[in-house]
Amino acid sequence: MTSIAQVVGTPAERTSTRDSSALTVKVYLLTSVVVIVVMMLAGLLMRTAQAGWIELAPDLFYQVMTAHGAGMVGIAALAGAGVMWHFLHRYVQLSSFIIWLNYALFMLGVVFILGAIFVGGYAGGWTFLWPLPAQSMGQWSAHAAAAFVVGLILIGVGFLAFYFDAAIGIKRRYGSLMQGLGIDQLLTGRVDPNHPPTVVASSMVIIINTLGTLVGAVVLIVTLCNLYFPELRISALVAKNMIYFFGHVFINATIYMSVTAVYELLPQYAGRPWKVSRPFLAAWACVTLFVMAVYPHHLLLDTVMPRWLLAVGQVVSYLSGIPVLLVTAYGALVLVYRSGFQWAAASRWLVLSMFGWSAGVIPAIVDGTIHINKVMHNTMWVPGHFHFYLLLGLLPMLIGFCLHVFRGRLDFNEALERAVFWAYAASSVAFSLAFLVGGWASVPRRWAQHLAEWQTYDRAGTVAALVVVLATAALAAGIGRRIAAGARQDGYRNVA
Amino acid sequence: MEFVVTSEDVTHGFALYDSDRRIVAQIQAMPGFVNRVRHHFTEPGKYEVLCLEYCGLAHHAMVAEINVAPKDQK
Repeated sequence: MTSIAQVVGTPAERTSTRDSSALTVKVYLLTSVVVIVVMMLAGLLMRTAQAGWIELAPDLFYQVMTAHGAGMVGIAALAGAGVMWHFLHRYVQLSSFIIWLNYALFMLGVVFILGAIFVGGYAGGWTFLWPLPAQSMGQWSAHAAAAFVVGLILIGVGFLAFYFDAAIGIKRRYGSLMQGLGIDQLLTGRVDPNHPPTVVASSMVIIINTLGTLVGAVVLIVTLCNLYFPELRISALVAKNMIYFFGHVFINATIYMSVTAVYELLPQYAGRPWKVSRPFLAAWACVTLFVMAVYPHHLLLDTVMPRWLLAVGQVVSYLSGIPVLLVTAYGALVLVYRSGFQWAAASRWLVLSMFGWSAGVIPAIVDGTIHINKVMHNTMWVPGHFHFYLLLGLLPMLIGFCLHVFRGRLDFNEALERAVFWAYAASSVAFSLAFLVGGWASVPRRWAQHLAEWQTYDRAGTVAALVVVLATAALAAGIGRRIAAGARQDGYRNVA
Repeated sequence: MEFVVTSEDVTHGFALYDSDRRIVAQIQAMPGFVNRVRHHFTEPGKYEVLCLEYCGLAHHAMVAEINVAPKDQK
């Protein structure tokens, strides 16, 4: 395995690069944990209102809902990019300017989005389902919708720059993205077991999310034009296809960026390397295609869609995440089994992420079945499905990463850390189940006001959400303290 | 019964709920397109149609009623 030292120039340059890298990762992850806690509070506010325990005006509810959706998807991507950058820059040369440009554009985009929502009153949902941004019935102006759209475009441009830079780095070192993905090894059968899984995952993310973000950018630009020139229109069905392709790929990419933490860090606790194998490369090659082909499962209730495309949506739903999930979860089990695995703060969270990612497949497959989708589509089952993935799969990857990378002199109290871990895990399961059971009972999603008969599920979800928020806030505070202490005391040396 | 569903403004969801407030059929209502969904009513009574695609600030207020009567009460 080649270290970054062999890639980047002189010792002085390497020191400078390491300092810059350490700061990059700290800023990306610190921003992420803070925003995640704030967005969780927004979610708690919505659940409390649905539970009937507080009054929240519908316009404010839908504004908070829009901010929560855009905020969580965006920050999951920012954190994932930070994790991917941290590991990928060990193997290929990446530009510090570009990663900071991405951060700057992200922050500028956030300013536009928050202004659109809380100054302009925009409440069109993060999915901006055309023509809703332009059809507010007087509730928000074209300027407010435009600010939201421009904010998303700015964020997308930043991510495209990051992906192009990473693609150039992989091309320089490995020849092409296909070779980074290991397609040549797959075809020839000559597998290099030391080919870094991080490079495989990063190549896949670059391919799918460059396409996904570009498609999103096109539909956003059309939406922007339509706001000021209403005669410039797009078919609602075409826009819907483009939005769900973009949205599905973008949110999936957040997990595939963050899973590099599992590949890089679990071996350190097991004392064994993560060897790349032919099934591993085959799984990632399949998922590269499946993740892009699966989005029609969001359109199963549009009978005007070609029937074969809906069938593809259902079949690929069953297959989509499973290959990588299997090789990763199975690979993790093999790695841990009889290895003398160190159950430390970080490794516990990484193992939890494997559980969340694996179990999260079940509700996804259920809702991807056409017959079931007819009664579950846009019920609470849907947020149950993605909250399960994100709370128990993605977030534990990020927390495990932070606890490992920012480890140092300020460790958590062991008993407290265990208590927070179990409180988080149990409450996240309970919170997701409250959504799933509500969906099973036909409770609609995205309703500002709930009927009394639905509020049993809402109240259970609210109590669980409160524990999730408290546990996450405690973790965020601990991570923040570690970062601050590391910055003062040890600088880059705290960053593995 | 076949429901022929479209929309004049934005995309909505057309979800048919039975008297126990369980979804029995659902389809999307999209401007410029016509989607169709069939449901065989076996029980008379009050049914509701709720919007299940987020459509703006009045989303949760989009509720309509359908009364299904036995054949001999037509």
